[in-house]
Amino acid sequence: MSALVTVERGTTSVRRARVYGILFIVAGVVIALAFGLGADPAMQSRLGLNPVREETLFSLPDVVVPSSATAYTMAVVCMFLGGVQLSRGFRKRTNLVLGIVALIFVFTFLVWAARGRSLNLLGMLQSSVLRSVPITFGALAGVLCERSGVINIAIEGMLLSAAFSASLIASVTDNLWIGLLAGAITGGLVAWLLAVLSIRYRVDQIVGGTVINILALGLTSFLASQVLQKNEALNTPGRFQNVKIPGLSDVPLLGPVLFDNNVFVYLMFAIVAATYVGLFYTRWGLRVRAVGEHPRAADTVGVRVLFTRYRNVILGGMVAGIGGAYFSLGAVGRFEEGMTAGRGFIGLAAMIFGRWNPLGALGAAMIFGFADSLQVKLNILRVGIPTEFLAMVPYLVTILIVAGAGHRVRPPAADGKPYVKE
Amino acid sequence: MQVVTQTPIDIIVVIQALVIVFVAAPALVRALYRIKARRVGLGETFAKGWG
Repeated sequence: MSALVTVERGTTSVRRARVYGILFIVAGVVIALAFGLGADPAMQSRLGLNPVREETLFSLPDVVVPSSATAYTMAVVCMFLGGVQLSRGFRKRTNLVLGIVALIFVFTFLVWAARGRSLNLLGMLQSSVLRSVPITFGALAGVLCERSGVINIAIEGMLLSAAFSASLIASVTDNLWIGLLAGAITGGLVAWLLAVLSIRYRVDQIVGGTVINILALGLTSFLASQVLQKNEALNTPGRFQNVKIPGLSDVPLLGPVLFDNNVFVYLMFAIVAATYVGLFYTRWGLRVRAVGEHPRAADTVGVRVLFTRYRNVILGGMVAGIGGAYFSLGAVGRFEEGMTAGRGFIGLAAMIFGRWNPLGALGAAMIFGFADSLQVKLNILRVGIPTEFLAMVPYLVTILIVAGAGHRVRPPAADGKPYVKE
Repeated sequence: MQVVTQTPIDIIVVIQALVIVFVAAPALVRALYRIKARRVGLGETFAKGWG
């Protein structure tokens, strides 16, 4: 029996390795045909590595590369990797090589898009980090809830209602920090609703989450049209300004990307670190994970299962609330109807792709943020793809990545199962 | 409805959400009307996970 299983596993992994090899070669061919032949051999692409407006202590020279020659070189590299994969195989490093090929593909695409012009690569990275902020907060909310065994589809609703109340309260009190706090509290309240529905009344957690999303969309639109549109003064919270971290913000490349941002970015990194350490290195985290994997065993040991779940869901909601406040207080400076535009669901995808791990979620959110900023950049560069299709890019990337990662990730064992004490 | 009675269109979405809650949560309705469950564990079958 076991021999049969190993043989089967062997053949499927061989087949997968072959598929990957062919994929690498196809990527190389596409690069050569589309980006190599598609560019004039005399054209050059200029990739900027300095902030556009400000002067920095050290400045890096712009990278200037010939457009089509770069594409051909990269195509050869991709095909070589594909050949090695087919003949010898990278075994455990296959995923790393897949990532490298994807990176090469995106890089050559950018070089092609910037042919005969210049493209500020650093500005793109900056906006990727900014655009990944709400996605990361959403994914962290999901991690906190689902590690304790409650499925959180309602991230979108939490983000939206927090964005609304943060804008309203910040306008009324004229204090951004109180607005941020109000956002977190609103997120917590919405999460409390989810907790009551799914833990106390044992509603199907997918349905409960969907209801909260619909409710948040309806309520915020209703209140925005009834209250905010009639009193414009209630919707002018202003925005958090960028805070430079002295010293670190002068580091070339990394400094402007990571250490010259508004408070949300720093909060994001702090909360990611805190959640990671908390979940995997503290007593609290061990209990949370036990409740998410095997609530009966946790209960037998004396962990209060339902209390842990309530606490984690509400904590997750507060994290999502901070992410929601980013929309109105960090990005736009006012509340608009439906301004989250599906970022909560992308956060959910980031959580799954990040394997229910805060660091993984951060990495996944960065990829989605990059796709988002790519879309905006291509719009400005006018590459000849209609705007409507470009707007699909972040969502398409979400589908592709989750479909690719879906079979290899494992959710917490008791995720979505209500616990009933015997 | 919006034309005749000046009911804002957004409130419909809110009502829809409430309808779904009450349909999906028999336990919630029972708690609201203080009806005792006939058997223990009724309504548990509603919930399931990702798969």
